[in-house]
Amino acid sequence: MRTQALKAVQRDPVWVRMILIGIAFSFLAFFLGMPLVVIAINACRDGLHVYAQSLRDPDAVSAILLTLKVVAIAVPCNAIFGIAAAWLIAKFQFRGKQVLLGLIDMPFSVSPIIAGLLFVLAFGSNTLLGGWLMAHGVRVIFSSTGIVLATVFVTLPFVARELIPLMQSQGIDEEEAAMTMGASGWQVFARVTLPNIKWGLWYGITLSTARAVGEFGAVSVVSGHIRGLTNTISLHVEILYNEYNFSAAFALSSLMVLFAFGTLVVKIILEGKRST
Amino acid sequence: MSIDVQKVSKKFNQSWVLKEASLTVETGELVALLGPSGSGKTTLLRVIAGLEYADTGDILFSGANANHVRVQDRQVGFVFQHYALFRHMTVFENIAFGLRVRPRAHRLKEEEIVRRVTELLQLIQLEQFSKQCPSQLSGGQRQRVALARALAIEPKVLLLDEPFGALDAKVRKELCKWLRRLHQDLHTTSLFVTHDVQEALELADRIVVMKSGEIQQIGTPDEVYHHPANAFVYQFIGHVNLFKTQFEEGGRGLFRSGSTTYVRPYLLDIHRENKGHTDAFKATVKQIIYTGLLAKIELLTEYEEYIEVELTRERCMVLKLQKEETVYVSLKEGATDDYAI
Repeated sequence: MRTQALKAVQRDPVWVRMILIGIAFSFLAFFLGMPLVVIAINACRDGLHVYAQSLRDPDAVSAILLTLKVVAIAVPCNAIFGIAAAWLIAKFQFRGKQVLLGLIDMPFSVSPIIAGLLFVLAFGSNTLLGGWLMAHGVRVIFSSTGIVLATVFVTLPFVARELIPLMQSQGIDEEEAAMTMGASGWQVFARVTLPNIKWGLWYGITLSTARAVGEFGAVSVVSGHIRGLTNTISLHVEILYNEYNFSAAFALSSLMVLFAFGTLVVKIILEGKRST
Repeated sequence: MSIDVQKVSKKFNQSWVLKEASLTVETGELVALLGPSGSGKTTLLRVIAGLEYADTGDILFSGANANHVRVQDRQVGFVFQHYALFRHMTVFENIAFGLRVRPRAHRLKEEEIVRRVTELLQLIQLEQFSKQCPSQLSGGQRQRVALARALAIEPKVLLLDEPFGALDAKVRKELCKWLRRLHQDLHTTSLFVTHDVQEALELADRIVVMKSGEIQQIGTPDEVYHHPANAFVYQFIGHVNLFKTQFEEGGRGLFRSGSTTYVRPYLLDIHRENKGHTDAFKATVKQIIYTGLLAKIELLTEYEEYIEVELTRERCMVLKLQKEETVYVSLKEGATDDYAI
C-alpha cells in the first residue's frame, strides 16, 4: 500500500500522461509510419512479380552494386581516418588541434550540394588538376571515383566524432602501462587501444554506412546520372520516379528502408554494448 | 639494481618542473618521493620510468646511462594511481600481458605463462578472481592486480605513483602493510610517490622530500622527522609550532632574536607554576581535544600567538586543565631534537 501511494505521488496524472504519449505516438505515426506504409504499398502495387522484376532490372542491379562498392571503399577510409584523427586529438597535445577539430566537423556544416560542387570545381575536366588527371586516364567527375570521393567527404566526421570523446575519457594510462610492460607501439594499439574503442568504432561505422548508402545531394552533383554506370540506388530511385515508373522506384526504395531498419537494429545493439 | 638520478632538470611553459634533482636509490631499497602536489615528484618518477624525458641531466640504472633507452626496454614495473588496468581483459590476462607482448624469440610457453600468472595471483591472494574483469573488483583489489601485473615482467625496479592515493583510509593502511611485507620478501628496488607523510614514514627506508621541483632533503624517516634540513621540511613533516615574536638582544627562551623558532607540539610541556624554567612563558588554554592516546591543547601565548601542545592523556588528567585558565609552557626536559632554525 505504501509503495503504491508513493508511486502515485511520483507520477503525473493519467490525463497528462495520455496526452503526452498520444502526441508523441501520433507524431511518429504521421511522419515516420505513414511514409513507410506508402512505400510498402506502392512497391507491391503491381504484384510481387513486378516487385521482383524491378529489382532484377540490369540498371537497378548496377545501381545496387555501385552503392555497395561506394560503401565498401568510403566506410573503411573513414574508419581508418577517424581512428587516426581521434587518436591524435585525444592522446596528444599539439598546436592547431582546434583547427583540426573544426575541419573534421566541416562536412556537417557544409550543404552536400556545395560539397559536390567543390569536387566538380576541383576535378572538372577544365581545371588544372582535373585536366592533368584526365590526360593520364583518370576520370573523377561523372564517374564512380567522384562518387566515392563525395561520399567520403560527406561521411568523414562520423567515426572521428564518435571516437574523440570516448578516447578522451579513457585517457592514456592504459597505453602507458602497456608500454612499461614492453609492448611496442603497434601492440599497444592492437591490444589496448583498439579493443577499448571497439563498440564506439562499430557504432561510428554503422552511422557512416547508413549515411553513405542514403547520400543523395553531393553524389547527385558529381555523378552525371549515367544509367548502369554512375547511378547509386538513391539516384536511380529519383530517375525512375521522374519517369513515372512508380512501382520500380518504390521497390528500390523499399530496399533502402530494409537497410535502414537493419542499421537501426545494429545501432540499438551497439548502443547497449557501448555503454557497458 | 640501483637508480642514479644526476642533476635532472625539466621545464614546462617557462617554469621548472624539476630543477637539478639528484638522488640515488640503492639496490633493494624502498624509497619515498614525498612532497605537496606540484612538487615535481610524479614527473621525476615518470622521467625515471621513461614515460617522460628530462631536458638536462642523466638517469643511470646500475651505473649505465639510460637516457636513450626506450620505456619498453627499461624493464621498470610501473603502478599508476588509478590502476590503469586493461578494462577489456580479465585479471588473468592483465597480469599475463607483459609476458604475451614479448618478442616471439623470448616469449614463454603458454604453460609457463599460466604458471607464472598463477603464482602472482597467489601472491596477491586473488586466485579466485582470475576470470573476472577489473570493473568487478574493489579499489584495493585492483591495485593489487596492478602490482602483480607490474611484477610479472620481473622488473629491475618498481615505480609506484601514489599507489594508495585513490583508496579509502582503511584499505590504504592494509595495503601499505602488505606492500612493506612484499618488499621484504622480494627486495625489488622500489621508488614510490606520495603526498601522505604518514605513509612515507611508515613504509620507506629513506624519504626524498621535494618542493617546487627541487629536492629539499634525503634521509631516513627518523632523520627527516627529527632533524629537518630546512623550514619547509619542518613544516611539511608533522605538526609544528612557530614562535615568530622576536626580542632584541638575545631573545627570551624559545623566542629568539632575528629568527623564527620551530618546535613540534610533543616537545612542549605545560606546568601549573613556573618552577625555574628559564624558557617558560605564559599562555591561556583555548581548546582541549582528546584523540585517543594523546590530547591536543591549543593555547594563546602571552605574545598573542596560537600554539599547540601534545600531551599524553594521563598527563592531561593530572594537570586537570580548564579552558581559559593561564598556565606556563616550556620545552620538555631532555628534548633532544633540533628545535630551532
